[in-house]
Parts: sequence; structure tokens; C-alpha cells
Amino acid sequence: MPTKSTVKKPAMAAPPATKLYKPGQPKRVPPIPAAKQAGLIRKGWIFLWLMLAASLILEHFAHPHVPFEGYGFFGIYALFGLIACVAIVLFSKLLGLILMRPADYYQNVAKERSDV
Amino acid sequence: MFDIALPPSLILIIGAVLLPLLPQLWHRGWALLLPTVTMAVIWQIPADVEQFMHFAGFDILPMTLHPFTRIFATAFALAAFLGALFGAGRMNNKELAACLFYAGCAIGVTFAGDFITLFIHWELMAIASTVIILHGGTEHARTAAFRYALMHFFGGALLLASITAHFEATGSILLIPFSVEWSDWLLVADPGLERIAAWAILIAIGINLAAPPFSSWLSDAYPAASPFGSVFLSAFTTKTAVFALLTLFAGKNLLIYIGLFMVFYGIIYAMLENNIRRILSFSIINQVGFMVVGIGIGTDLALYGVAAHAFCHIMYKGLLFMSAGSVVYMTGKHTCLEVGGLYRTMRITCACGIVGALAISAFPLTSGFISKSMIASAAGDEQLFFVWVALLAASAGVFLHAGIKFPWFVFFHRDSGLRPQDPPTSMKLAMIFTAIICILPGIFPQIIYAMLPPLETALDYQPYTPAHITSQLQLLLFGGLAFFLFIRYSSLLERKPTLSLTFDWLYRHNLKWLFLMLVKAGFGLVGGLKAWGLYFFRRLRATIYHYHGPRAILARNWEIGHTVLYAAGLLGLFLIVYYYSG
Repeated sequence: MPTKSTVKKPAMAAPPATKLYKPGQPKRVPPIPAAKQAGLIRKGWIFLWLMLAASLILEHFAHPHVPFEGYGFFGIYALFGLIACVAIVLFSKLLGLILMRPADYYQNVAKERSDV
Repeated sequence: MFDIALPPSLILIIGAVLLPLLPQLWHRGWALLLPTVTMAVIWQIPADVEQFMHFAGFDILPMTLHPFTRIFATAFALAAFLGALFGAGRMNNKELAACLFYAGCAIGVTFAGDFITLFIHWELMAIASTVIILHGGTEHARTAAFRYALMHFFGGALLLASITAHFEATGSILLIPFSVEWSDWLLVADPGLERIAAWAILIAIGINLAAPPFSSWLSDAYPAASPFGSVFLSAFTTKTAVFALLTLFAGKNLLIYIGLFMVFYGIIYAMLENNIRRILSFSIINQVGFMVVGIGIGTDLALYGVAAHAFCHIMYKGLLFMSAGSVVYMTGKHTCLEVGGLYRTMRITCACGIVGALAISAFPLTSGFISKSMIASAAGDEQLFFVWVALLAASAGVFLHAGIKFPWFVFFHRDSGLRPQDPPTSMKLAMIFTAIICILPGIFPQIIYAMLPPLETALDYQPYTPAHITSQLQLLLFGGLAFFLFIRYSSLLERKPTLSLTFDWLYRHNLKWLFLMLVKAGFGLVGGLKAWGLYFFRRLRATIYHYHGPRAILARNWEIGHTVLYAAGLLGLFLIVYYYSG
């Protein structure tokens, strides 16, 4: 016995997805050995510390300008940048405790709610 | 030949409509030609152009040069050119046409001299961008496009209503700054129609600006579009809203607080986000927040900084979206969790992504350095201490989420095992061009400053002072130190497959639930009514049947003798009455 089709028609029909580019052969690049990786990371850290030191040494030649009185002490911008970033990370992660949900949250909500 | 010159936006709009009619082979050339011609026309228009057209009983001004029209229109035309170079030939006809149409409408907004022209282009932009999002092709793109369309059509309806109210109150449709003072903004004192209209226009612009509580459409819709469509999307809607705000509401203090909220909203959500292009979408809200703060401060330096920053932002955000789009296009992966270590095989994409990341963080020698600092300096000049501190913290925060987080997790961090190549030549070219445009103004700031309108007294602003370079380097590098310390010594910044609830939770979760409940209740009500009606009609039918049915009392066959007897009785009664009364 023929029954009515239960497939829902979407309100707006989505066009087909953009085709992804298919490269003929992926590049064959072996993973970096662990020892070399550790060396790279150490070099990166040394570079970062050198840059930080350089930015502080630079302050001896050009003292940063603060448009408000009483805040012009040595390394104010460095201290501020460090504290601000730590605060932003901690605060955002704290908010994340309330705001973060699994990636398929809305799909699950749709499923749960559809049979209220 | 023509007495009236046509607005430059029409070149892109008409050209986009004609595009699907042309042979496939011409599409890429056509898509590159249109923005180039538009750009040439934008710079040919004389500064004192004034042109009236009659439309629906109004004199409208489709071609007006506001102080900041030229820099915005140039940025839009340039973004359209680079976006077309990046994506033409890989998008289908409809998507490419929608992209060019969208760019044309955005340019149309910058030339609008009256609210009617503004509104028409505003609405067409909403339609074109919905089409672009729809071409993401996934189920999520379809639903996100629907939510996007609902939000923007609501904004359009609000804009039209408020324009009508504004016309009713002032009798003018010209796009001139609102004269309502801050103290007048409190509606309670005297809710005149003019003030209500001003508020409603501000809210309608706020929707396109992704200002809270209307910010969720941006991070919802932009990552759902195709890798090419999102390059276009990142450039126009929010920046036309910035332009409208700059033209109408410069110097309204309220905007400082709205802007600061947007700045930190963008940073915090980007820190929590895992989807590559959604990180960048939140970062759009953050950067637009900087501009809104500048508009709120309202001094010459701040407003010029906003225009310069909008130009630079359109360029480096386009570059970041191109870089992220290339990764999505070549790997098919959308989240930071799935990629990593791509620098070894996607060298050009990685280099361009880093240039974009440095520009958005305002590193010296990039375009962000010369524009973002103008807004912060304006806050310092006005002695707005908390605004200045917040902007400084936000600058470090931008470096954290867009400057390091995006390139680090996508191109470095752990090896994901993926070995994609760099994208095809045209996409690489587009990225390299955009990267050059992000660096050039950083070295020669005059390029940007020359596009700004001349002032009577020249701006006393020098981006490249040793003090400024030192302070910016310290701020950013020590911010970077915080990031890498967190990466090394804690798992706080580790990527997780999550999403973060934002304002759209209110309608995607609760309103939907409420709606479903209402539908159920509605069906219940209808069902109840139907059952009661059926019962009523059954009873009615039974009653009628009872009296008039085949064996019922009123349908019985009466014998003829009874009838004669009744008739004779009646006649007798009549006779008696007749005799006695006569």
C-alpha cells in the first residue's frame, strides 16, 4: 500500500557543497624525529627570550610614553602585556566553564526537543 | 554622452547580474575587470559632486562624497578584486555573481547621500550575503543562512521603520550626523519621535555591526560559507555599518562602552573557540569594537584612526580568511583540532597567514601598527584612563587569539600527519598581493593617510617614534610569552571539540523549544476543538434522528381518519365561537 513520503522538504534548498581540490599526490614529508623536534622547540624558546631581552634593552634608548602621570616606570608595557594576557586567558577559561558545550550541542537539542 | 554620471556601485551591481549570461571562460576576467573599473571611477569623481534623482516622490542622492567615502569605497573595491582573484573560477556562477553584487551594494552604501539609497543597498547586501552563505553547501550552512537572513531582514525592517519615523519627525531623508546631544538621549525625559527614530536607527546599524546582543549571527554564518565566500563576507557587512555609524553617530559616548564590550567579547570567545574560521569571525567583532570605540571618542584623530583602521582591517582580515580558506580547501578540515604542523608543506599559505596575524596584532612595519594606535592615542589624548587601559589590554589580547593562536595551532603545534600542498596559483597570488597590501602601508603610512580627507590643521600624529615601537614590541612580545608559558606548563589552551554558547542560544535553544511547545499546544487545541465539535455534531445528529428518523415520533405516518376528526373538531369549535360572538 503506498504511503505518504515523510521526507521533509527544506525551506531553502542548499546548493551542492564546493568541491574540494584534489591534489594528485600528497607531498611525502616524513614526520620530524623527536630529538630534532625538541631541538627546534629549544631554539624557539631561546629566540623568544632574546627578543624579550632586546625589547627591554630598547627601552634604555627610547623610553615609552604613557599619557597618564605616575605610570612611566621601567617595563610598564612589558608587565602590562604579560598580566593582561594571563588575565584574559584565565578569565576566558573561567567563562568557558559556563559557556562551553559539546560541538554537536545544537543538533542534540534539536533531537531532544522535537519529541517534547 | 551622459549628463549624469552613474554611481560607481552600479558597475559592480549590473556587472554581477550580467555575469551568469557570459561564457564560462570570461568569468574570471570579468570578475577582475569590474572592481578595477569601479576603483578607477571612484577616484574620478570630483569632490563636490552633487546629484539629485527623483525616486518615489523624494529627491535622493545616490552619489555623495562623505568625508570617508573614498577610503571605504577603495577598500571595498580592493577587497572585491582580491576576493575575485582568490575565488573566481572555483565558485559557481551564482556564488561569484552574489559576491560581486554584494561588493557593489557595499560601495553603494558608502556613496549614499540619503536614507533611501542607504536602505536599498543595505537590504540588497543582506540578500546577496545570504545567497553566499547558502553556497557553503552543508546542512549547517543552510540553517545558518536562514538564521542570518532572519536577523538581517529584521534589521532591515527596523531600519525602514526608523527612517520613516525620522522623516516624519524631521522632514528630511538626508544622511547627515544626528544632532541629538548625549543628555537628550535619555528617552524617559521626553520621548520625542526624533529621538526614538535615532535610537532605532542606531539599533538597526548595531545589528549589522554585530554589536551585542546581535553579535551571534557573525560567528554563526561566516564559518559556514565556502572558503571563497567567507573572504567576501569578512569585508563588507560590518564595515558598511562602521561607515554608517561614522557618518551618523560620531562622538556619541555610549559607543565607547558598546565598543569595549565588543572588543572583549571577541577576544574571550576567540580564546574558547576551536573552529579556524570562527576564531577569525570573533576577531572581526573584536576589531570592529576598536572602531566603535574610536567613533565614540569622536575627535579628529579618533575618527581618522577609525577610517584608516577599517581600511587596514579589511585587508588583513581578508588575508587571514584567505589563509584559513586555503587550509580548509586543501585539507577539508575545519577545526584546529584536526590540523597542525602544516608549515612544512603549505609554506606560502603559512607565510601569508603569519603576515596577516602580525598585521592584526599591530606589529611595527605592518598596516595595523599605523592605524590601531591612532585610536588608542586618541583615548590617551582625551585622558580617558580606563578606555586607554582597556584598549591596551585588548591589543595584547588580539595578539593572543588572532596573532598567535590562529597560526600556531594551524601551521605549527603538533604534526597532524596531513601533507597538503599550497593552493593553486591564483589563490597563492591573491594571498601574496594582499600580504603586500598589509605590509606596504606599515612602511609608508602616507599611502593610507593620503586617502583620508584633508584637515584644516594637519593631524599631529607620528606612528613611527622609537617610544611607540618599543612600547608596542614589549606589549606584544610579553603577551606572546604568556601564551607560550600556558602552552608549555598547562593544558588550559589545549584545543577541545566544543562550541561556546552566545546570544543565539536564546533563540536557537529556547525560542525553538518555546516555538515547538506552542506548536504542540496549538495542535492540542485544534485537536480538542475538533473532538468537541465532532461530539457536538454527533449529539445534534442523534437528537434530530430521534425526532425525525424513520421511526421517530414526528416522522410517523398518520392515518386519514384521525386527520378528518381533527379537522371536524376544529370546524365545530369555529362554529361555536362564530355563533356566540355574532
